[in-house]
Amino acid sequence: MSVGLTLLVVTGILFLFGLGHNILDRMRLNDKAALFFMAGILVGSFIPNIPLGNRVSINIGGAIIPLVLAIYVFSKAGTTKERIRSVLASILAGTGVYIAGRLLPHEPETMMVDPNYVYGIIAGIIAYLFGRSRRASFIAGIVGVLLADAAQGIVNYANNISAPVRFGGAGAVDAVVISGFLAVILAEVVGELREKIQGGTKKKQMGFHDGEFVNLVDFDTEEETEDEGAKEK
Amino acid sequence: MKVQRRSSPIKAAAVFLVLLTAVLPMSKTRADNWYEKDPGYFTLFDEEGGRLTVMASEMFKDDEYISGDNRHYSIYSVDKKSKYAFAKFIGDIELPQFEEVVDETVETLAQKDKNRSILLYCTHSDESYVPSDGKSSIPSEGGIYDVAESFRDSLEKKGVKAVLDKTSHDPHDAGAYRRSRQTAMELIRKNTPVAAVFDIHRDAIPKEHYDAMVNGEYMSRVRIVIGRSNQNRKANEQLAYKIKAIADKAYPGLIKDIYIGKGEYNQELSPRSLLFELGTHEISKEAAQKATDNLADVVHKAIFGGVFKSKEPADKGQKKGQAQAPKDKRLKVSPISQEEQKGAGRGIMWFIVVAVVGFVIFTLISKSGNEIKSSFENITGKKKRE
Repeated sequence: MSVGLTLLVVTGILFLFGLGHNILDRMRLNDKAALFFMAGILVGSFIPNIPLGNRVSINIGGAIIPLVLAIYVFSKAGTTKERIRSVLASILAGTGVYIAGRLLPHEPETMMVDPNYVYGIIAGIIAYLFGRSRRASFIAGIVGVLLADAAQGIVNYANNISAPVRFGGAGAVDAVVISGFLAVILAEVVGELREKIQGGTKKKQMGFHDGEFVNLVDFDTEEETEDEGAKEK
Repeated sequence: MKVQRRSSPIKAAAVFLVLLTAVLPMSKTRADNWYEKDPGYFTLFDEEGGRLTVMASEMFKDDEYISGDNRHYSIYSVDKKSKYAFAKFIGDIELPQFEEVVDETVETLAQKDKNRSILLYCTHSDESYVPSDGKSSIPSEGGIYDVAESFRDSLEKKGVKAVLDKTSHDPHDAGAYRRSRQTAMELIRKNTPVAAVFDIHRDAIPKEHYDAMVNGEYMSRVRIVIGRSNQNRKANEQLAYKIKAIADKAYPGLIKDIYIGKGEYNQELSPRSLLFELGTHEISKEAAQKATDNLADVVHKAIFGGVFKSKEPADKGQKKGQAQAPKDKRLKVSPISQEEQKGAGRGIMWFIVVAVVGFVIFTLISKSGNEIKSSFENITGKKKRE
């Protein structure tokens, strides 16, 4: 069993025991939906890639289900600003992943972090910096790697390189899935750590209302509603 | 305290994109041909200053090296500037021992699980052999595929179901392993049950390190590379040791050494997954292809079992004055499926332990005492989640 599969199983068990609710709540998912998506990713990984044309194919578990999940999370984004941030973070994460692929040393042993995780971390950091939320991080983690793959496909086509583009081709262990999960975990850990270091949330006026962190004093102040580092005390 | 308003994300993103665009024109693929400009390889020394080996790619502290004579070293210091690395000797590797066969009838040892496939792919699709291919790198059509084809054909001659995926993973950059991971998964998906997965490469160090006479024939040596970060490391090491043990007796000199380096090399996808360096850019492709026949025999025996002839020197117990002529012994190898796969389970257990410990630490950081208590009540069902 690979790290990716083990990660999915361990995460699934944690959700089953109700330990991942923090993340799930903020992703607008309930336990059943989360497990359903993860089972889909696992099962879809074993189904052959679906061809999308010459040298282009897509995997159900590695790309289609994560993309559906990302779109669902996007549709549940709290504000327009969060949606804009998600899109921007995705484009930036995709650019970051593509450039990292070109700039980093080519042998895994010379990279500080293994290629399986480096893209997730890059997408996660960029997504957190620009997305500022678990939702935006997750979307950017998934879409960023897919965009980087699409860019590589275009470059290959332009340079007449016969390498195919297989979106999420490695299924549950593809960089797409690893990146999405790493990005959201990174956002969660960094958010919680930041809050712990500063001794609790600075946004005392905010509270959890109808599945959303909102400014309880003034609901129109959109700026503060997106930082999910804030936590109900 | 007043909450500071952040600058617009669009502005921040624009600045970030401008910075990236500025970096982009400077970006150059750090492809494998860096050795052409400069002797780009690292040299490894033991504690006495003796040269152990050279590696085309960077060496790191805690990498491990198993020499041709099965001495195990651990790297404790690396000087990046001089490209020198230093390793301490940590003991001799105990390779598997094989039982001697006297009964002729055992020759037809049952070889089960022949329906399991050996899967081959080449992460670096451009790797080529200068003397035969004319250059060291031919995008998407490297000479490495000819060598991988020879290996596949040799395995098939042994009755093994061998599958070579010739998908290109170009460009030869940091994304190559990410793309070859998709190929490895596609191979596994289509060819289950899987016996083993091998990534075929060629090295980029001077020729003399790979020149060999094996049983009187000139051919290339083979280096085995294992990723020390993958959770199947122990299981993959067991396979590598078994391959080396058989090769040392049947084809002395064929397996050059084993390098256990930083990285995963997609080896976590299978507990029988290795990277083979078949020769180097300076050696002829034919020499590498010649080696594939012997390598296929060794891999076949290591995985499916069988009987092979040992080319070891005669026993030490011979009378004085007698010539030390090589004496062929017939040794029996058990199929790998009948052996314990200690490593695979251990790797997964470690990963689960790390995940659980990480989660506990995170919970302690993020939750107050009451929240933790409440979570436990949720788990034990004492309190229903709202």
